[in-house]
Amino acid sequence: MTRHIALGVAALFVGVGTLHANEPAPILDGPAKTLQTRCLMCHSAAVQQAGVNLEHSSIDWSSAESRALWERVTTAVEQGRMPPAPMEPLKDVEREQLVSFLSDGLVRNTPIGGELPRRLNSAEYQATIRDLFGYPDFELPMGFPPDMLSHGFDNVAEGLALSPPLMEAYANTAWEVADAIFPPPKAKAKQRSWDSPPEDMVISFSASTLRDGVMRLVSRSIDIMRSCTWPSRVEIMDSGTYRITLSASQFRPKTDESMLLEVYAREITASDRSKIQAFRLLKTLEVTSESPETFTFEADLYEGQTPLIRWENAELDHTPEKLVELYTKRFKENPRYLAAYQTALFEKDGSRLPLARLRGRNGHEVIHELIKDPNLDMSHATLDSERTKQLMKIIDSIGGMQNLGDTLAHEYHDNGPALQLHDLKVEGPLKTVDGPKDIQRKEMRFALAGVNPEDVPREEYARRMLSKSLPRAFRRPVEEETIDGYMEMAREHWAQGHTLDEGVHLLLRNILISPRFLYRGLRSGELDDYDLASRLSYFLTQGPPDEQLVAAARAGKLSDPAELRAQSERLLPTSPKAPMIESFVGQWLDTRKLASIMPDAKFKFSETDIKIARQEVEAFFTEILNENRPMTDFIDPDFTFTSRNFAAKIYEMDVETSDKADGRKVRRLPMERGGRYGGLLGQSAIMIATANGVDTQPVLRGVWILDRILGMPPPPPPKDVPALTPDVAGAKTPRELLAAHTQEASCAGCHKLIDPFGFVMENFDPVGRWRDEWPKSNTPIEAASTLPDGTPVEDVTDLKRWLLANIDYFSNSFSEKLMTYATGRAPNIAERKELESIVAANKARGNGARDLVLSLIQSETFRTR
Amino acid sequence: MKNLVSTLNRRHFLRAGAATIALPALEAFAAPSSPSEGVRTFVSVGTYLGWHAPAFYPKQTGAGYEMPPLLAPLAEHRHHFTVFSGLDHRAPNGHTAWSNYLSGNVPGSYSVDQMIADELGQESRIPSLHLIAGASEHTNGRQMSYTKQGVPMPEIERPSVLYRKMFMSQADRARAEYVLTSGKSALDFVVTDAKRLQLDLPQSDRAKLGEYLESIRSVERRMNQQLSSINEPVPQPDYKLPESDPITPNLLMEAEQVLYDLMALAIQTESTRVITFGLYGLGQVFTIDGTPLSAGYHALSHHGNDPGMVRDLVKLEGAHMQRFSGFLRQLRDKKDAQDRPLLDSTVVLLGTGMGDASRHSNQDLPTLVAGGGFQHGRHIAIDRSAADAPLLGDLYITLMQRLGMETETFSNASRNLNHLFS
Repeated sequence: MTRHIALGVAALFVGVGTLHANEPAPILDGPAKTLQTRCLMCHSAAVQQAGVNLEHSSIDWSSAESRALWERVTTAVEQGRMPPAPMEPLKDVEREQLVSFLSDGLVRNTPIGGELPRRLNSAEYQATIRDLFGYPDFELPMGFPPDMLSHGFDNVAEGLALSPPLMEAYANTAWEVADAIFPPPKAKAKQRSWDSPPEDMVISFSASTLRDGVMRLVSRSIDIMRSCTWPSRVEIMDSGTYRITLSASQFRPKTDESMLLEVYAREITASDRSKIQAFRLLKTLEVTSESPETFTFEADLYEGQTPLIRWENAELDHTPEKLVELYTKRFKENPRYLAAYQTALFEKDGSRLPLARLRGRNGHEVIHELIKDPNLDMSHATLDSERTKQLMKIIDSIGGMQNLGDTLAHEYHDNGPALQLHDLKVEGPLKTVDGPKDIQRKEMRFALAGVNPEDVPREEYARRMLSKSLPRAFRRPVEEETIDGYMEMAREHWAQGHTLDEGVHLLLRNILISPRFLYRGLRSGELDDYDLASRLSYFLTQGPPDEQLVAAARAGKLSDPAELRAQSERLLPTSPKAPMIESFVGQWLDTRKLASIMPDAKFKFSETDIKIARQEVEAFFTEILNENRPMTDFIDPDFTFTSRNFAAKIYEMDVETSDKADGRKVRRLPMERGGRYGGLLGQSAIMIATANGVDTQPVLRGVWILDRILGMPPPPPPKDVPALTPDVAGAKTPRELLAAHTQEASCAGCHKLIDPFGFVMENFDPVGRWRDEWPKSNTPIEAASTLPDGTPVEDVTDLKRWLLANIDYFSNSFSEKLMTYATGRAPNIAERKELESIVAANKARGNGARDLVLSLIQSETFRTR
Repeated sequence: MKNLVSTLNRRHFLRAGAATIALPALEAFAAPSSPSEGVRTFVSVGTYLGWHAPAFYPKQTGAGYEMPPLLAPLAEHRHHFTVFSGLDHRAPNGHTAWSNYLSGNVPGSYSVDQMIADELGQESRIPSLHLIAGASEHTNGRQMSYTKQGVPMPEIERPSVLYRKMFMSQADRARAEYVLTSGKSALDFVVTDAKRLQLDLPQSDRAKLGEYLESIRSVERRMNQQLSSINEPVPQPDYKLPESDPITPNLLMEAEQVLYDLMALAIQTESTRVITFGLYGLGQVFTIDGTPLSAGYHALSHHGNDPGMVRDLVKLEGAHMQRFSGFLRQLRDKKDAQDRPLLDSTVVLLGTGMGDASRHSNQDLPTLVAGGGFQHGRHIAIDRSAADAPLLGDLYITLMQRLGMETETFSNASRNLNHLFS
C-alpha cells in the first residue's frame, strides 16, 4: 500500500510528507480555527447536521471512512456550497487554507486502486460467451436482467450486483449454451408433405395479390415485404433435401423474355424487413408460357426454413429512380393519369395533401375514380408544368417509394405483366443433411477441446476440453488440481450411467456459473499480466483478451510499458461501430438515452433521424481518436459528421452531394470553427439527450455540462424542493420561473453554478435546432449569462471560446470518465491527481486525444486493481 | 362415490392415481373451503396499432348506448363490459412509447400486470403468461409487460410452446428433472470454489462474493421447489393444436383464435393468474370474407381519414373483436370449481398504447373492461380536457383493488375510478 502512494502520487507531486500510517494527524491551526468558528455550529458532535460531525482535533488519514468524510467536506467547501446561505461564505483565504490542508492530506494518504470483484456486465458476458465457444450469433435471451448504472456507467463494480434472478438467468443461459453444443438427442425425422395453394401464401403490402385463386407477383424490390411471397404453413422441422414442386405462368407478358422465378430459403422467423440478399438462393426457374408450367427440383432446406419466392426480372422495382422512370412513361402516355395524381396529391392552390391515403389498392382506386371524373382538372397535366415537377419530387423520395410504389404495383396486378403462381408443394426430407446449426455445433465441439468427441475416449475429450478451454473461460492459467476437480465431476456423472454428451454438458453448465468466469478482479493489489490483459481487453473491446494479448501476458511482457502501449494501439477501436464506442460514448454523453426519447411529433423526427443523431456523435468521437486531434476539437472542431438530409433539417447546412439517393448517409463534412453548431455542444443527439423530446429544461442541460463536460457534478437537489415546472413553453419565461426558485437560499448555492450553463444552451430546441424565441410565449431567448468565474457569455459560441481557454476542465473530466469506465471504479482523490498530471503533460505535448488515452492506460490508476 | 372422494384431500387423490385426468372431472374435487372466493385472474389484450376510436366509442354515454361498429361483435356481452373513452397516461407519443399501455406515464416501466403477478402470481404454477401474435419482427423495446426493474417479459408466440409450458408432457418432465437434479448437485462445487476465493480477498471484497453465494443458495432453493412440483399432476386437456404453428404474420387471426382458446384453458385449469396478449402488425394484408383488404395492417392504420382505408381498418379490427368476443363467450360458459362462470372471477382489459396510429398519438386510448364482477353495460366518457380529469392509471388502481390488492397508486395516478365504476 505504501508503495502505491510513493509511486503513484508522492513522486509526482511536490510536498512529500511523512505518512502517519496509523496515528491520527493533528489539524493545523488555520484550518482548525475555520472549522471551529464556521462549521461546528451545525456539524458539532452534538448537532451533526446531515450526519456530519466535524468536531475532531486530528484526522485519522488511514481510515477510509474518515477520508470519505473529509473528501466530502473538501468538495463542498471548494464549490462554495458550505457554509450555506444565508450564512456568510468563507473568506477566500479561509477557504484556500482549509481546502489545501485537506486535499493535501487526502492525496498523500489515499492509496491508488480499490476495484471490487467486478462482474461481467451483460454486454461483456455476451461477448465472452461468443468468443469462448466460437458462437458468433449467441444472443442473451429476452428478459435477461439489465445492469444498473453506477457513477454513470454500467460496468462499474459497485453497481454490478448479483441478485438471485440474475443468478437464475446465468444458470438458465448456461443450460441453453450447453444445449446448443451438446443438445439432447432428437427424434428421427418424419416424412411430410405440404401442399400450399395460393390462398395459403403471404400477401405483404402490395407485393402480391390473389386473383381467381392465383397469386400474382409484380415487383423485384430487394425488400422482401415489397416483392416476395412465401407459404404461411410450411416450416421445415428436420434439415434435409426436399422435393419442391411449383406451378407458374406468365400474365400478359410484354416481351418474349422468360420470367425468372427465384426460390430462396427463408428463416420463418426472419423479419419481414429483411433484404433478399439475406437469404440463400435455391433455384432460378424460367417461366415461358401463359399457361401453367410445372417445375420440380430438389433442394436443401434447413430446420426453421420455408421457401421464399421472387420475380427476379420484374419491370417494377421499389426504388425512387425506377419509379420516376415508370411514372414518367405513364404520364406521357396518358395526361389524365398525371392529372389524377396531381388532384390526389395537391389542393387547388398547390398545397400538399397527405400521401398515406394514396398507398396501395386504396390509392389505386382513388386514382382511377379521378381518371373517370369528367371534371378532372387538366390545367397542370403537362410533363413540364411546375405541379408535375413537384409531383416527380415526391415520387423521387423514400416516402414516395414506400407509398406510391405500392400504388403502382396495382396497375401490374390488374393489367400485368405479372408472374403467376398456381401451386407449391414441398415433400421430404428425401434425406437428412447437416444444417448450419449442425455444422456450427460440430465446429464448436471441436474447438472446445481441439479434437472431435467421436475420435477419442470420453475421458480424453473431457480432459482436453478442460485444459484448453478452462484457462480461456477463467482468463488465466488454471492449476492441474482444478482440472482434476472438474474431471471428478464428469466421471461421477458418467458412473451414474450418463452419456459423454451429458457429462460435458454438465461441465459447461458449471464453468459458466463459476465465480472465476463471472467476475474479474478476484485478486487484490497490482494487476498481474493476465489481469492487466483482461482489463485492457474489456476496456477497449468489451470482450475477453484475444490470443495475442494472452501470449504477451504469458510471456510476462504486458507490464512492460512499451508492450502495453503497442497492445493498446492495436486494440484501440478505429470504427464507430466498435462496441466500446457505442458503450462509452453512449453513456458518457447520454446518447444511449435517445432510444427511449422520441421527439414530439411537431419535430417530425423519424426513427432513422434518431439513429443518425447517434451515429453523428459516435463517428465524431472515433474520428478525433483516429486522427489524434487536439482535445479542443471536441469543443470547436473544423468538421462534423452528419447526413445531407439531417444537415438541412437541423443545422441549416446546405450540402451538395452528387448521389441524391444518399441523403441519409452520415459523412464527414467541413465546418467553420467558432460557429453555433458542431462539437459536443452543438450536436443534435446531445441536445435531445439533455431535453425530454418536448421542451427544454435549462437546469438539466446545466447539470449535464457541469457533470459531463466540466467534471464537477453538483450534488442532487434537496428532497423537499418542489420540482421546477419544466414547461419552458408557458407564458412566463423560464428565466422568470427559475429566478423565483433560485432566490431561495437553499437552492442558490448550486444554481449559481448550474443556471448559466443551462441558459446559454437555450438557443437549442429539444432536437438541437437553433431558435431565437421561446415557443408559445414568443419571447426572445435570454441566453446571456455570467459564468461562475465571472466571465460574461452571450451565447454558446462564447461558451465554447471559454472552454477552449479552459480546456483542462474538459480534459480532466474526460479522463475521469474514461478511467471510471476502464477500471470499474470512480477515481479517488489521489487517482484524480495522477490523471490531472497526465492531462497536463499531454497538453504540453500537443494535447492529442489519442495520446491522452494511451497515456492514461499507462497510469498507476489503470494498472492497479 | 362422489361423497367419498370429496372427503379426500384433492392433491393427495391426484398424486395417488391419475396424473392425466380429464378436465371436467377435476371440478368434482373442488375443496368446499377454497380460499379464492373472489376475483383472481387478470387478462390484458392490446393491439399494437391501436383501435380506430370513432368506431370504438359509442356516440352516447351511460347505459343503452347504440353499438358502434367495433363493439358490434360484442353485442351479446353488452352487460358484461364497460367501455371507456378519454383515458390515457399522458405518456409520450409514437410507436416506441407503445408500452405506455400497461406501464403508464413512463413507457417500459413496471407494468400493471407484473404488479398483479408479483402479488398474486405465486399462487399459481405459472406466475404470468405473455403471449403475442402477428409480430413479423422483434418487438424489442415495444413489449407489453415489464418487471419492477423495467425488464421486458419474454413473449410466447407459438401455441405449441405455450401448450408445452402449460401442460408438460412426461418426456419434458423427465428432461427437466434430469437437468435440475444434475445442476443442483454441481452447485456445491462452485460454492466451495467461491469460498476458497473469498479467503484471499480483503473484507469489502468478500461482501461482493457474498452476493454470489447468496444468489447461488437462492437458485438452489428454487431448483428444489421446481423438483418437488415437477411430479405434481398437470391437467391434460382434450385440445387439438393445429398441425403447424400459425406464426406467419398473415395468420394473425388464426393465431389469435388458438391462443384465446389456450388462454381460456389456462384460466380454467388455474395454471396462471395473469395473462397479457399483444396483437401486432406490419405489412401483412388480410383476406377477410374472401377478399384481400386494400392495404397492409400498418398502411391501413395510417389511413389519413380516407374513407376506403378506414373502412378496411375497421373491418380488420372488427375481426379482432369477433375473436375477442369468442374468448369472452368461453369465459362466460366455462365454470370454475365453484360452478361460477370464469368471467366473474376474471378481470379482462382490452386496450392499446396508441390512441391514433394515423397520427402516432398516444392520447385518448380506447379501453374496455369486461368481467371481474363489476357493474357493466355503460360507456363512461371522461372529459380529458378537464383539469382534474381521471387517468387510465386510476382505472388500473380500481382493477388492482378488485383483485384484492391494497394499492393506491399506479404510475402518475393516485386516485381510482371506484366511484364511477365498481
